Amino acid sequence: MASENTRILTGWGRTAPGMSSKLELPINSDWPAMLKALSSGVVARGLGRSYNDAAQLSGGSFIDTTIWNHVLHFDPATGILKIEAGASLDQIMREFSGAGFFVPVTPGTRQVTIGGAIACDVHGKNHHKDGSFTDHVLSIDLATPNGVITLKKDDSPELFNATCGGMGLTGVILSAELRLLPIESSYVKVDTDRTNNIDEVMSLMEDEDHKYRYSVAWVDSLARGSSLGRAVLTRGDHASIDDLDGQHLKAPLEFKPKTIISAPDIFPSGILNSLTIKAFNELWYRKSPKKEVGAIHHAASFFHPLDIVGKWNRIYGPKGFVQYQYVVPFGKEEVVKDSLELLARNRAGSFLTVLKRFGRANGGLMSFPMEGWTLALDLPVGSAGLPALFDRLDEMVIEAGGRVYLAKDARVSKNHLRLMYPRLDEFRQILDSINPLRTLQSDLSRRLGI
Amino acid sequence: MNDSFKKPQNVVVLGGNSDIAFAILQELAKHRLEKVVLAGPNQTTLHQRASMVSDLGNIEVQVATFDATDLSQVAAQSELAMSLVPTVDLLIIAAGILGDQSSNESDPAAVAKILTTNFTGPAVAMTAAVEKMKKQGCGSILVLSSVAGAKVRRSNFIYGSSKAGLDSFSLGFSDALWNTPVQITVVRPGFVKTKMTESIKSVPMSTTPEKVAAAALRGLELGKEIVWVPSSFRTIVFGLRHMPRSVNRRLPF
Repeated sequence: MASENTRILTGWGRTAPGMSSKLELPINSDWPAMLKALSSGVVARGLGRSYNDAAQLSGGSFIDTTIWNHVLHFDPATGILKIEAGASLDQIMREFSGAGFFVPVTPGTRQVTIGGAIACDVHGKNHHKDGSFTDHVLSIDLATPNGVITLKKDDSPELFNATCGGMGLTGVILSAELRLLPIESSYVKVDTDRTNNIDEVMSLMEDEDHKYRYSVAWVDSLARGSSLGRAVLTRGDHASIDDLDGQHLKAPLEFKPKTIISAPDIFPSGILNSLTIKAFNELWYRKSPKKEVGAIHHAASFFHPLDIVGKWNRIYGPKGFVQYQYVVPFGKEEVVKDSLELLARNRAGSFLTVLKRFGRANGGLMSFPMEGWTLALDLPVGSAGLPALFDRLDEMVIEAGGRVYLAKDARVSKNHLRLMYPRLDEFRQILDSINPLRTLQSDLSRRLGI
Repeated sequence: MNDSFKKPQNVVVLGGNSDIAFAILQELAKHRLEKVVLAGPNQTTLHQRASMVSDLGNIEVQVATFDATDLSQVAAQSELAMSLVPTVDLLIIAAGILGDQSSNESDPAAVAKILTTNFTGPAVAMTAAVEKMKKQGCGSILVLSSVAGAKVRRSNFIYGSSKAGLDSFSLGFSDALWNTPVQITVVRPGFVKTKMTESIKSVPMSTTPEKVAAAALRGLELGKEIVWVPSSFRTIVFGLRHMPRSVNRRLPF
């Protein structure tokens, strides 16, 4: 049924598949002509790590950006790197750690492209200190139906802010200039605290997060009662040479992590159920030290523990899973507690539940982060009542003045989206001028009526 | 578009006056339903049904002509109905008539009408729908089959064989579409209390349109190909299929 170039695409969550035609286009194409010819719509797709339908367009085309992965310019004096949009964070870490540079922001996987990191304005464990990815982007080359435009934060703030977190809808991101972070080693000095409940971890984070560049808490989503929200909090900073000894000093800047194993596609759905997730959570909690100070971990295992297993999304089985991440402002701590309570009560076990604190929002019109608490969950598709449970969570988040993350969204309603993203209309107006025919669109933008 | 739980925004119903289809729409209205096309032969009843559907919430309902017995028009009619929504996220094939077994057995025209309405017409429409969904790159089809079609019995073989045909056709298509984003789910309810069956005395294990709707949508969400309602019919039909024909033809039901 499919022509040679047709691909069945899903996001990393493996739900909501759609067929699109794959396009491999030179980065210096005649973009206005090319985009105008794609009347059934087109979306850019990198490594496909957004969780659901942001990088696919059923019945349309997608541009494979991973073939654009060249370094265009690097200035070791300033750490400013110009690179094509299909290059991954993994590639940057491998190529530049030797010179003493690290990416300024990394999400939980380094297998994301620069284009995707900008379009989703991704964040990492250092948002409370360093903001999100696009806070470190100086310029973006964007292919639009009107031509290729170079966007700079100061010269063209409107379109720059629409593109950062704009889910790829303002144009195809071709390349970008970003400022890398100087580091002395590829190691991270980590403090770990195991806390008994949610209150304990939240107050610890409130009091001490400012001392650390990186901070994240893994939360046991199935613990209830007085243990509700018990967590393992890990915080750290890049290790300096003085922090290292012995083995670590041999090649302090080496960054050559390996994917040890790729999960085979044989797992039936339902292996991750409330029982196994409970057991896993118990084990993870127990194996963590009660308190540990100054442990040296390699950056790859600190930032991207899941990247050790390739295609780990397969362990959820063919039905896939849904990620859900929200942010609520400081002062709305009860929403975090209530949502954990709601999940535990519904036996909706989340395999990986992560809590962190965001710092100030940037100017991105559709950018997710805002000052407050953010909680990320992933739940396997299949348990009854999940859609209604998520709708209830949306209501709690909206009431608190928060929002959900579109890079992970699989199901938010149009009404709720409007309430979560107050600048949506402004964003649409910009699309009306830059992308009036919605040549750039995705299943996500169609589902949400953007 | 469908979301990750296969909750559609746009739905087309062939056999738009069906009570089960209405129960499905009722359930979907609690989620992401926005636009509905009800297609059927009788515009008057469809308009009544349409106002019931729009009363379910902020839902835009349109009606279209679909006469399953008019084989020269079925494909065009279903294409027209599907063109009224931006994407056909879910197509419900609900067209069907029960007939009257004892009188229809000696009535060739009645047999032709039942088989066309329940099998040939819907199969033609499904073919058009699958083509449409391949082009749009995704979509789901819910086929309202019947336990009567899973094991055809003496007491109900005209209706039963029509549903058996539709059921097998749908599962064959499902095989052809395996591992593609176009999904077909076949629903096999037992006796459902609806206007179609109101003239018949209720039987044990009868179910309701609401229960059929809930099971059908759950099956859709889980990517199931076959949904029995109630689920115990799977075992019962397994038993019936393994009974000798001499026993089978004497079954009292």
